[in-house]
Amino acid sequence: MNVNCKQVMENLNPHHLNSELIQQERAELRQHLLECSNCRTAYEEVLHTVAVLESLPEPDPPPDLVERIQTRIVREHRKQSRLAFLVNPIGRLLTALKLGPPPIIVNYTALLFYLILTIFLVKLTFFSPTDSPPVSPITKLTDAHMKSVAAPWGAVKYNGVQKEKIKGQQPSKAPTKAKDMLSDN
Amino acid sequence: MLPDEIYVHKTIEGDADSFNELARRHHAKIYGLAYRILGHPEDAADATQEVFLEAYKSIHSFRFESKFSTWLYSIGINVCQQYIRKSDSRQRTLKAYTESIEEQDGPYTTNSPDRMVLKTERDGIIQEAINQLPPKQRVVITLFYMQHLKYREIAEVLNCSEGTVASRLNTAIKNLKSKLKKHQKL
Repeated sequence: MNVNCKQVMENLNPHHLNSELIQQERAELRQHLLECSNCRTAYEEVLHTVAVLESLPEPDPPPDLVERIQTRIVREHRKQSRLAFLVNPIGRLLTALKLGPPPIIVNYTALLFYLILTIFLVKLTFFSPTDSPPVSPITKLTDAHMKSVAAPWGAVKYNGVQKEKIKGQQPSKAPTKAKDMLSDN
Repeated sequence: MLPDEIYVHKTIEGDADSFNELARRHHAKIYGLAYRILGHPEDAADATQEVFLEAYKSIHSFRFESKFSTWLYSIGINVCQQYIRKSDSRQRTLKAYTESIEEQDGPYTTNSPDRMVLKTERDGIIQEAINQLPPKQRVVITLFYMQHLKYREIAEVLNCSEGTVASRLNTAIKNLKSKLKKHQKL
């Protein structure tokens, strides 16, 4: 087999032979096909194979195939909708209300929602008053002094004794200065 | 008829019915592709469903740079290749075509959807020959001769050069020719 036969054998596909991929070689290859009976026979066999292939009918899909596809799509859509609600309830609410927000608004809403949620959680975790606040000397009120502080409302239960507030009687004035409190002790 | 891209936009905005319209338009082509590559009607139907489900899930990644059908074909090729890797699928394929060859003496008498696909003995023999090709050659033959895609489109689907497509197609034709040579009546 000479070089030309090899080139023909490499380009036996008739569509390829007619394409622009080998435009410069096309005339030469065609000329060779006219001269070489072996290559011509091989080319004719390829033409026949291609004709056989192209004559194959397109297979008919099962009649319920579209319906099966659509059922799976609807199921997937519902699944995605549920997930989307968990990811961004505000955005989904806007969509459900037919406000038709563009995707960028939905995305920013999700961002805002999670920002607020994060701030809330951080505040709850790190800034909640779990320990008792530090006690200053002013707040160190003695038991006796507490007794002198009358509640302005109806009744005060203190040391197991219920003291009824005398109607019309003014409660004793609570000391306002820290100095007074300490001197009472 | 509205172009596919309109429906793609609507699907991205959350309208699943638009995607159903796309499925209605393209399911036959994808089924044809899957059938020629996998060689089995049941596998082809399952693969077609997978292709559309995969396309729906990844619709946001469609960049509108190629045709929707080309994008769908590339998903179809990937799904079919996954099916080919499954050994049970191969066994079923072989079994189906052994049966089809055994039944060469007469036309199929049953009218079930599976059998309707292989309507004639001749089609069965050609499909069997295609099925014996390596997967890459099978894919390129199907895309070019049955789906009538151009070299450029096939190169886009397979993510390779047009030269590779041409060379692969040429090899596939030569292989197919030698496989069909024994069947003189074709």
